[in-house]
Amino acid sequence: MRVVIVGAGHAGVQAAETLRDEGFDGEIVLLDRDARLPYQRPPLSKDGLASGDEPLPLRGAVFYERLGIELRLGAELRGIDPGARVIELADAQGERSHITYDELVLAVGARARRLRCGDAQASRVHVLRTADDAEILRDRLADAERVVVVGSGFIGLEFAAVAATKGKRVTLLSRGSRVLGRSASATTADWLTAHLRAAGVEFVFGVEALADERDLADWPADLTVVGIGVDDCPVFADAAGAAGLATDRGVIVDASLRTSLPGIWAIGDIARFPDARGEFQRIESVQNATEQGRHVARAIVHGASDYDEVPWFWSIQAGAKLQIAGLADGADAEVVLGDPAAGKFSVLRFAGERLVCVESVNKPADHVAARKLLASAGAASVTPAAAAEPGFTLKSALVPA
Amino acid sequence: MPSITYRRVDGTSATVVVDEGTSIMRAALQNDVAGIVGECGGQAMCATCHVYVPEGVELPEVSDDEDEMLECTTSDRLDNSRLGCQLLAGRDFDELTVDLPESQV
Repeated sequence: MRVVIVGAGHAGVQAAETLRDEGFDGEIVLLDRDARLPYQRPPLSKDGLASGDEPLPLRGAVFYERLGIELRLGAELRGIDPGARVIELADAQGERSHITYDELVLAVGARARRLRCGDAQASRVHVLRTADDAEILRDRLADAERVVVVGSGFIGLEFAAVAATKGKRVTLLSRGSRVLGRSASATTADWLTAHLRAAGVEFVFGVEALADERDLADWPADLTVVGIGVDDCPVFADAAGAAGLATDRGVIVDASLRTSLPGIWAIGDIARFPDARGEFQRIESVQNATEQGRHVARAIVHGASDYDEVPWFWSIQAGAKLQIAGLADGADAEVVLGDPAAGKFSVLRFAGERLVCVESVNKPADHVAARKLLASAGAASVTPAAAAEPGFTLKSALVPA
Repeated sequence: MPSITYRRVDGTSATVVVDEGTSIMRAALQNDVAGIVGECGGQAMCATCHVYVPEGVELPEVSDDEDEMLECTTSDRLDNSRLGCQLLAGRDFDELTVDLPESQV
């Protein structure tokens, strides 16, 4: 029995490890088109960028040998034949090879979206997703004085924070009227904006959708970085399309993370999966990657079950720690605990009477409690009215186990 | 050069020699010491580099953030629980033996 895992990011490496933890004794082939030993992503836009440390390996080099995981680096997926259960790979020189599988796990991640550019060779705009990107940016940042950041999601904000902390003149362009439009409440977004302003970041809101690098002519800079989301890698999309895999801005999977084709699973950033309410979503986070990696490995060894984990995220910006538990889909009410003016608070977000998400700024204890609470039956007792009672804390709402 | 010894639950141990400034978490990942996960990359966000430090050894105080994240460990938090990402060889200790917990996730 051979399991082939395509993509050696947080999801793929975790899936390989958990297969062994769960007693799988067949072959495991783990491949990635990146030639580097698989590494941690979160530090690339945070302290790793600031410090210049080597990328932190996800596991040491001997780990793969010790667990009998065949690591094939510099190999890109080019084709899938689901009938014959064979994939085609290409190495850096374009040499083709084939490998058969019994189970195939797609953990290919996504790639940073770029602005259109008339001449890609002449592109002077950077993205931040891989260790290579981070190394280039670190060098460029050292010599830059004026930095322009396009996009006010996590990557844009984190990069702007690092650049400002290094004393650069930083301007951040946001399409919307506030930062983190998709992923945080206005309360949290406004607090972060003020915090980053104090760190030296200048914000420009309502910038008409930038689509092309030429649209940046009004924003001269020594260094321009775009953080405007991700796209599926076109090489992967072609292979998936040709194989007949159901896709829609990602690979569609069922609640057990199975794709539309037998023997093929998808996990991590590339997977679009149904949540407990049947809503399909794609979650781009480390925790989602590792939990789905564990889940798919257990499914292969012990049989499939539904994936149902409370998502959580974090970001660090100029010394401020933002931690989010849950998803704010449909949130229409909020209760703030603590004091934003003091820089320590949590925003409880509700969809009707139901607690769906907790954003904590410099309040790790609230975040820890929120993660436990959202995974437990106790969450039902936390209504907007209950949370607004004097003396209410998330910890007190946790039903003793 | 500083060194770190990791004692596993089964009594076996592994000692690694590291550069100054390397955290207990990073040293374990770099040297393939099983039993430390370090899911968040060393930012005190995940509590998957939980270790038990020896009693009576002078180490920096637990910060508020570390204290709060230690509430998230899967194995029991004890008085001598620390996050391995927060303790740096050569800055906080020269030689240290830590005990690994039963589980990290």
